[in-house]
Amino acid sequence: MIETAYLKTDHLSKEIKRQPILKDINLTLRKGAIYGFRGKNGSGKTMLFRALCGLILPTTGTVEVGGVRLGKEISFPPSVGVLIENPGFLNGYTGFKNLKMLAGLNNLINDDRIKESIRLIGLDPEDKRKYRKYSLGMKQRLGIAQAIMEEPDLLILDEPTNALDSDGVEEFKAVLLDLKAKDKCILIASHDKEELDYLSDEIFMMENGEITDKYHLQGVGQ
Amino acid sequence: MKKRPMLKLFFHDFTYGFSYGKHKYIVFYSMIGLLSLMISFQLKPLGSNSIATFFLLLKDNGYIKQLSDYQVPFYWDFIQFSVLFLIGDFLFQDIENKRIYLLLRSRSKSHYILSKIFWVVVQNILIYIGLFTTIYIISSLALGDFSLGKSPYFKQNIVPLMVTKVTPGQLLLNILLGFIITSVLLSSILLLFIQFSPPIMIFFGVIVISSISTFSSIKWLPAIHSMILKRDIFNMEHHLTLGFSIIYCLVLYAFVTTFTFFVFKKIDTP
Repeated sequence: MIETAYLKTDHLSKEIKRQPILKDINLTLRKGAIYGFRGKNGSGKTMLFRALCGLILPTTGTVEVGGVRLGKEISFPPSVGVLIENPGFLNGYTGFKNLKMLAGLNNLINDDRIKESIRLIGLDPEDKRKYRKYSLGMKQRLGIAQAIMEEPDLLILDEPTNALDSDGVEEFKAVLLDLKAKDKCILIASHDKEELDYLSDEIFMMENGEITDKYHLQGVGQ
Repeated sequence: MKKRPMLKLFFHDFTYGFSYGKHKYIVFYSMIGLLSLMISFQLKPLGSNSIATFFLLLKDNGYIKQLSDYQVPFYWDFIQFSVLFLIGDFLFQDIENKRIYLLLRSRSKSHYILSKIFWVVVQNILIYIGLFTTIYIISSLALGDFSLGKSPYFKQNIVPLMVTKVTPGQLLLNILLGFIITSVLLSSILLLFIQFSPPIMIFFGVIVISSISTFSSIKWLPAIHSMILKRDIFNMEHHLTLGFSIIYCLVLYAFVTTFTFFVFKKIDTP
């Protein structure tokens, strides 16, 4: 099978204040697949994700998304959804209103699509409760809904199942597998081995900013 | 992002800025209202209108000949620092929690930082318009006089302090413009340095820069331009005119924001 790379890094390295944060990362990731990244805290997963989004520029090496080099031809991937940290939702707004405010920045989707994303992840789009009344798990679900609502080609999720209950994890898995079937390129970082093994087509192990090991799982969750 | 991306980011900042900070704004304007009320009650028997309240609340401590004469201008400090806090708090929240989501949706560092630069100016202007309106309404209600002309208090207590006689309207305009240009400049310095260093450190750094003007007469310091008693209206010694203040602050602002724009495009977004 001929696989076309959607996201590619070539000898990607990053130093911050002369400290190596990422070391010689070489990835070739395609659409229609889920990639898991596992490693201890501080192993470089989040930094790698930031580099893949164009948020930090490589010290050496390159990142290409859809055949276009980040930081050279474009600053950021053309279609990307992320959950890297708390999206800073407004406490006084409902979940729907918070997402509508973000979606209004690029006007790619309408209210129905926003509501559908909220519903997909197990929340009620008509819920009138303000964000401040949400539980931790609900806040995390809304963060995931924010990342998937525009159906981006590249989806990057850092510890997405933190604070989710077992129902939430199951709903999340179903959403990801659906997006994978829609030919999206999905990257997840998680501590949870079982969950990553279930979802991922390929797992990358990270330590001290390096990919130390990788293994194929051939999409167990399918 | 197809249509008017910068404008959308700006309106996002506008909505987010006020929704996020609304409780802090309420506290700030309540404090201003309370201070206006206290000053107005002191002025009531002296035949005054709101001009005197503006003057007493927003004036500084003037030039200090000897350090032993130094008095802390509490109201001036409170207003200057509170406005910087409101703006710094918004910028801090934006950098901590919103920036990556806005950048990746707008897909443009230029649009993002330009909207922030623009919003900081508008936020300053709106805060000071709100502040002046609060003082005017509360003070006029307390004094039972909504006029902005020459009151007996103005003629007997403020005019004798002036070396260049100006009308109450001109005095008010001097104070308002002075506060706005100073605050816009200090906020732009905050926006620049917050890109590299911990926000809390930068906030206190700007507060220190601002405070130096309360005992120094150097007219190249940014905060001196909001000090009405150091203006040529009250003191000719340093030739600090409104024209000089506006031009100086605009030039420095242009330099700082241009630097911010180019630096932001080059740095990481950690």
